[in-house]
Amino acid sequence: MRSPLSEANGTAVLLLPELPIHISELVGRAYLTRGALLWAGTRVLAGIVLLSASGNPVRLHPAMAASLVVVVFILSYLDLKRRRETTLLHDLGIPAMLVVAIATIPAAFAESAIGLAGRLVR
Amino acid sequence: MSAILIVDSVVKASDGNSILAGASLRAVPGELRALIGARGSGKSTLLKIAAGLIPPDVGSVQFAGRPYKNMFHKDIAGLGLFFVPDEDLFSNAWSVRTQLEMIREQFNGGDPDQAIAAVGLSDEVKKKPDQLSRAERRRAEVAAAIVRRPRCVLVDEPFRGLARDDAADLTRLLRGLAASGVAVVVSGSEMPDLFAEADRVTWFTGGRTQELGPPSAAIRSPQFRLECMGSYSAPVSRVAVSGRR
Repeated sequence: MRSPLSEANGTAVLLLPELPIHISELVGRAYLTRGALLWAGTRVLAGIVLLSASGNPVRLHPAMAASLVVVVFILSYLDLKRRRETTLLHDLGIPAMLVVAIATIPAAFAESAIGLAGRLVR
Repeated sequence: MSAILIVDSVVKASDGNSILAGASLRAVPGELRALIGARGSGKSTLLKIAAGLIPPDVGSVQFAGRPYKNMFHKDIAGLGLFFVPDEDLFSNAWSVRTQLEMIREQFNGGDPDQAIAAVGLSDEVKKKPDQLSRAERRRAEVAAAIVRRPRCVLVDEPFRGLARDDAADLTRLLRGLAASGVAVVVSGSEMPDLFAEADRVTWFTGGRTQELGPPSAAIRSPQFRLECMGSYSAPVSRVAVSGRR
């Protein structure tokens, strides 16, 4: 049975069930890092806007946090297009939208964590 | 040896304008094929269809015996096809070495350092592509193909903007790739060195292709010489005199 994360030839490979797609650790890490930076930048900008409107720059309304994740998804996609990485990804056998989704993981994870922490502190 | 990539009678139109009107293409393992035609004539469209980047309106395409009218480039890439576009393949976000390592990890491919050494870029390996010259970027893309170990490589217009010496170096590298058993198809409009080094020539004109055979046979076509070879007598003479093919 295929596991979500397995070792193949000394390389950690993410195996997606049913789909003949795998993403090497290096590619996955590269897009996770990019997504984390995009989220951090977007978060700072959102914080500045909220601060100027006398709001809480850290604790966002759940709808706003979800919107922020969507914004990071869109920015990741636009960044991919701007850098013209689609052909390289396809040569690697990786759908472009999959790496966009991977780049959104840090935003989704971080916003969930901040939201959860906010509830616990309250 | 039989063709690994077969494109047959492909028709493609865009905004009512015919781009391909029955174009065909073959890629045979161990063979370097030159796809020669005027700039803007539709060679890139033919290669993109062959790579699964865009679908044909009519006609059939198959790779390794699998027809793929409804398959995408990423799926065909997994079967062993490597496409080098007429714009840069590599991202400027990471170093050449990192991107070669990505390819190696993804396909359990060849050693990036050996590939980099083979294309003469050992000193530039830690640079990002936008810090390299155009010729160096083209060589880095050949290194990517070496690391990938594909069954077939389609290279779109790699000689555009290159100096004559750089073009000759690149041709030598592509020749080496073919000699290792890879099916190589290279498109271009100004390719004197490639013409001389190619195993076979496919002439793209008027939205159609004509198989001209080896270069020594291709130069016997008066129309081909008139349209494509007029200003490049040296390589033609080389082919004719050496009679190597």
